[in-house]
Amino acid sequence: MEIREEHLDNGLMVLLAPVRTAPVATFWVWYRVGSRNEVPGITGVSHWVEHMMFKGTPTLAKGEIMHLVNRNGGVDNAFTSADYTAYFETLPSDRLELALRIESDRMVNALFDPDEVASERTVIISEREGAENEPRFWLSEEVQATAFKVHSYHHDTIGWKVDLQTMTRDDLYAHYKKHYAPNNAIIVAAGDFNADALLAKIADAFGALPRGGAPTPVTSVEPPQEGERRVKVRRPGPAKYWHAAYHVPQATDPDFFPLFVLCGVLDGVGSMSFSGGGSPGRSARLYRALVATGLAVDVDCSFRATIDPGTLDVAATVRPGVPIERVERALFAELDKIATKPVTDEELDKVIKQARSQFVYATDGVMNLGYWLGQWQVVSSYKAYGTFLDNLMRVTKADVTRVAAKYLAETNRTVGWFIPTDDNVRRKARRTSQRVRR
Amino acid sequence: MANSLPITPETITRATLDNGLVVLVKDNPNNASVTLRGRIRAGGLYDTDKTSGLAHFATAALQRGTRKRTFQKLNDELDQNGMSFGIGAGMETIGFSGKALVEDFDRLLDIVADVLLHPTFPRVETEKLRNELLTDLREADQDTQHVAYREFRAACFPATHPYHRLSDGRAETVKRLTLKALADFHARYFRPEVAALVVVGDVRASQAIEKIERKLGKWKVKGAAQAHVIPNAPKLKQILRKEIPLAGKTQADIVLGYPALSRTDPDFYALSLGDLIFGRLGLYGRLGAEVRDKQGLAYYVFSSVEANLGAGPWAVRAGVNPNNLDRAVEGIVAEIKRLRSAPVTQDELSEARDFVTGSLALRLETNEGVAATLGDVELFGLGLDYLQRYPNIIRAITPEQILAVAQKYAQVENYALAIAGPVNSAQ
Repeated sequence: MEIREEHLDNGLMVLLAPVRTAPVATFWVWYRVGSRNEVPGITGVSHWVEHMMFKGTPTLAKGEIMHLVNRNGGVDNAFTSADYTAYFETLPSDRLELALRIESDRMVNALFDPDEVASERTVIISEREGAENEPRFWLSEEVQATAFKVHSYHHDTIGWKVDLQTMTRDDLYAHYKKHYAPNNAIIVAAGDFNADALLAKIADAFGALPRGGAPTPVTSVEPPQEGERRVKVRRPGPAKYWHAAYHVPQATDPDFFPLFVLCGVLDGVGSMSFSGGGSPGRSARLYRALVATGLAVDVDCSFRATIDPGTLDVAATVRPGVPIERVERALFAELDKIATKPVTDEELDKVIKQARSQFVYATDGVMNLGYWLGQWQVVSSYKAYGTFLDNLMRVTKADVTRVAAKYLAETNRTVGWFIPTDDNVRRKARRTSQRVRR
Repeated sequence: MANSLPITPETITRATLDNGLVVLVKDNPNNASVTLRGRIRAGGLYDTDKTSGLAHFATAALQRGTRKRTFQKLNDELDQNGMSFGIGAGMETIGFSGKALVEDFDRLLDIVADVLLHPTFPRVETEKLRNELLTDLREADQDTQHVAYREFRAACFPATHPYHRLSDGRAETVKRLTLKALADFHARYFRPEVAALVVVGDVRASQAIEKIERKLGKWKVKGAAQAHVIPNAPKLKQILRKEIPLAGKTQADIVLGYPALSRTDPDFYALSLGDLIFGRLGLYGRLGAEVRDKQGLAYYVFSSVEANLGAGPWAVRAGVNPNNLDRAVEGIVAEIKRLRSAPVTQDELSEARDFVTGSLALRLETNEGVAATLGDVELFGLGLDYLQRYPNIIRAITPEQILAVAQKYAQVENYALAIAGPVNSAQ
């Protein structure tokens, strides 16, 4: 598949991937802004700005965007992460111009009406409160905040509640004006279109938008961790949860691919697509050591491509009745093993095959393709599309051992425990486990 | 680009094997993978109050060991080939799905056949599964969305109705189900004559059917299939409000609704367009415009019609701060009143029509999308020409028809409402 890269004079990057297998096309705008670009007091501002992008411009009334897209047989949405904010419309291909109209308009013209900001405040807080109903959210927020002291990966994308209560309309608008401009954005289109014709339309819709000032670069660097950090969360909950975060480098680092394989050997290769799926990792090391032995109910290794150095996370749900210390010992034993003894050829082959399949699955459908290309362009380069599997295949057994020893070190980890405070739950847990042992 | 539909009588090969298994194949050379989906018309509807969770447990246990493969061997084989396979029981169907690179299609089929036909229910692995299911149930017991939905279903459908319960059962019953009960469930209900298998991918239809015949042609079960009956639930006669306080929660999740209709009911299309306008189009339809956008009361508020083989509920779900609970419920009920009191506008209706007909292409863009749609076409007996007829079916719906079905199914004085949220908040 050919991917065409173009740049407009105002700095807007355009990536076009014509795929003419179904009469559908997807149009994405990726802004290089996320919670990574936030400072204390306005945490969560990038995500809130994303919500405001549906609340009206002078020519598109609040709520109208989604109705227009629906009316044309399309779907749209947006999401915010630490590294980016992305918007997309997927439409029947003969309606694709609607996406250009919407995105070029809200790139510069969003209103941020104070009344709309006020009513959205409770919606945003409600989104956070929904997450707070999940015990795992409290634990991962705490682990993340402990692992990062200096870098803005410290806080979750949703933001701290007090900031959501106190942030002003001016804070939101200033953030928007600073980061939403053609020179800070990437357009990705994939699907049933002629690239020349679409490029001309993109130039018409976006070419006259003024270049913005250069957004303040994120200069903070997380200093090396000098020793294990630990954190406990005590709240009502149905089970004990265990979570550890290890600092690892960014997507552009040569160690990225060995780390990808490492996580695959531990837990299988997860989905690379927008729509999820992926190996549940039941033949992989962590499942065998933790779940098959009855210590944990589930276990998971996750590792994402990020702009700045991020974390590799290992998490487990402790089986009721099992002491969390036992789960921790078993997990550390597995991580020590992979850092000291080579993985097998079979394990390496398995990860490569899983990655190859996930890659094929992830490119079934233009929406998945648009997601893949845009996300990689933000953190590294869309060209990873052509080199991803080759880079994985170059990883050796020695590479895996080396990165495991380097990054899965005690001094480099933050360990979190979630301990339920509800006595009833703990009593029930003990009874269940006794019954099982008989 | 040809604007042709992927599902028509000409593009789909449909065959019935001698044992009654229906096979549908769609050849798609555009992605080097193959997606397989199957459904068996059986599930939690055959559970009783004492065996609640049986179908769910028995079905999940199929993967824990078969005649040819231990649990570990099955997992190794799937992972070594980058394949996926999963199977689970709902209330009225058992669904399974698998995915593989096209080079591994034969392997995937072999696993599917092995799991469906020859599970062994090994004790150690099945007991581990039981523990996992019990932990799932305990986690679900503290999940506000799950608890609200479960209690809503219990209030909306009488105790004798299958929909009164959820298919995952209760801890008390799941603890007691014997391995023999699991094996008996499999032996009785996994039957080719109530099953359909859909294959979409880079495979030639005739070859795929031959392969399936080889692997699944021997699948035979004595006796006749049990009747698959889901009675219509009686209408609610009052407001049934149930509140479940849960410790450590910040947000209250609510479900409000009533029994509605089945997928094959003639009212289905009018009601589903009405539901789109009421709680889905744009950002959650009229509900979203009022409760989220205007009043800022909830991050999510939407409606859905669960029209299955049986008449499932039509319900609104929302997550709200406990202080806004009463206002949110009032806002939802006001929108129900409005839907019942005046026809939707022509503008609203045309948006709903244009959306469902225009977005067909999107739903059918991936192998998974085609397989899911094809599975529904078969399950509900819609016919392979269904998508060709669909635009006309939709265009024929009028605002008056939507008003009539809204008045028939939506209720403002007789509804079930369940609220799960912070302790001391749901007054």
